[in-house]
Amino acid sequence: MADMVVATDLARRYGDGDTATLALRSATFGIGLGEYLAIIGRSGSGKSTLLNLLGLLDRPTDGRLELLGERVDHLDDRRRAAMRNRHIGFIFQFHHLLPEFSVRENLLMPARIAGHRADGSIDSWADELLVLLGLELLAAKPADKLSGGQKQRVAIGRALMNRPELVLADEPTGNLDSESAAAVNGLFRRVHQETGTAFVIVTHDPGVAESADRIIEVRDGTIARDTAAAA
Amino acid sequence: MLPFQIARRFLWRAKLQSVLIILGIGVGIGTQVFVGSLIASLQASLIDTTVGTSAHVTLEPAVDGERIAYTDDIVSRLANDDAIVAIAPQQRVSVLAVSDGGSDPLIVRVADAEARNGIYGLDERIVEGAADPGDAEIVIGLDYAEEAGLALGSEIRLVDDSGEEVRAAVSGIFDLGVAAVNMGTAFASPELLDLPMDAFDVVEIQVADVFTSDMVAARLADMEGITTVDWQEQNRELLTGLQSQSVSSIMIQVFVVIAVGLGIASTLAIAAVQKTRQIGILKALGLSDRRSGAVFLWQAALLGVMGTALGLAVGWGLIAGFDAAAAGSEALFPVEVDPAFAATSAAIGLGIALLSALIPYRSTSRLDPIEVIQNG
Repeated sequence: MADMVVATDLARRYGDGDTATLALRSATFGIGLGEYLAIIGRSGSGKSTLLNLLGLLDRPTDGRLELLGERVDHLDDRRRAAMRNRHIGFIFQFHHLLPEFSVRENLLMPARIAGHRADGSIDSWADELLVLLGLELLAAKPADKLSGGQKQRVAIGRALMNRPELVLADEPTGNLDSESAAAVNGLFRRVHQETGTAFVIVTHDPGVAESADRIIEVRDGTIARDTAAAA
Repeated sequence: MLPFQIARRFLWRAKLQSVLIILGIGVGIGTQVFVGSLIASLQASLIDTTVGTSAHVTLEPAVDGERIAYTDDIVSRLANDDAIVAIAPQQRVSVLAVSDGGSDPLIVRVADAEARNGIYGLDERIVEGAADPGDAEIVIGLDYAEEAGLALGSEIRLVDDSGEEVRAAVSGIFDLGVAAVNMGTAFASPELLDLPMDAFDVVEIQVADVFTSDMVAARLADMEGITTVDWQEQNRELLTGLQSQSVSSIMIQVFVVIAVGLGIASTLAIAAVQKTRQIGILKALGLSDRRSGAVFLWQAALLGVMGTALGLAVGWGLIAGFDAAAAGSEALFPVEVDPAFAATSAAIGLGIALLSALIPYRSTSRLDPIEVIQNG
């Protein structure tokens, strides 16, 4: 499997001098196209830092990061924003939908940011996603009127809107009850199979982690275990 | 135009807040338009009352007893000066006016209709009869008419310094708004006093901006055989009063603008803070710093345009209300809106709104989406 993401000696340090904290050190790994990967670790272990670096929300202080063959660790803010929009989908623990917009408008937002006008192909893809996620009857509903599980499904749809190669999910089931969490996890697998999009899921949930094809464990800012690498 | 659509949705979502902000801008701009127009009209009224019906610059013969030859050169110089709005070459004759009511000194001004109206606006200030006297007629002031018990058709004998006497019938009564002028001034035709109109005792001039009379007088001072006198030189205390009023007017307007500006800036800053989370999410999804900031510029523009439009309506309404009250009261003066002033006020309102948006624009550029995402 070709590596879509290549991280080499990736590090993130906060602060300078005596007060400096190394949140991530010498992380070297690759993520292949269409992989389904879980990142686990205790709180403060550095897994969210890693996810932020992979999502181009943050810059590494050392090391090198490539996405789809392009070096991205030194890109300026504008280019990083464009790369995020085109190639990466985000699913956050707190959903982070825009309450001013409807379900459908939230779904379409990444496409609008990319400059796509609402036309046939964008609309039909949004409709497909609504059906895939079981949201077709809620399309016109304001996003803040949904339940937690429904919001997370909208967030999944939004992450897939621009057909990204990589979806990053940060504790996607952290705020859901066990039934909703299982449903969302099942949905992830189904979407992964149907779209071929690579998923990287940061999770504390053993059920979610066990369902992944590969597990990376982060401990004290280092990659302590990479089951795919070990396999 | 995604930033515009997001801005519009943000405002629509917080309807009450948006309405309050628009009201705030509207009341501020409305106050600015009303107060500015009120003060400008008050000053215009004061100027009109005090120097509106008198000469701002007077050309007099350099030598006492001589007269001003109204040559083509002088006519051309005066006609080509853009600051001059009215020219009244005239004869001034001191007479004793004798009537059944007694004897009173009068200065009879002899000028053509254009000159009379240019300086004194006589046509508009006639309260009885007509402004244009015939060969044996005279137009007198309201106070003199009341003092001497004269009415239209009453006869007056005019006796000059040499004792020569002519008779004239009252054909018009004017009110120039100043009792001393109404009491001591009259207007007559050249034929009444048998005066030649090729040279004049005095040439009275009005300028567009009364405070520039000194500059106009200085420009005309080089004309041969003529001295210039400007009203500011002769009315120092009045000038100080009017200038103080101008300064206080500007200060009041500046403070109103500052108050409006602070109001707009603070409300927009609060609105921006409230939308920090949404902007962070949009940035995480790939919205650039520039487009994120543009959301607040559009918000400010929308609020500014609507608030300013409301402000102009509020200002117009207040002025209309004031004018309605003024119509029934002699103590009040009509307020007029200067379109340029209203446009300037609107531009200031919109400009302040856009400038105020620069604060959230900058803070949005610095906003790190990670802070928003991790803090929920």
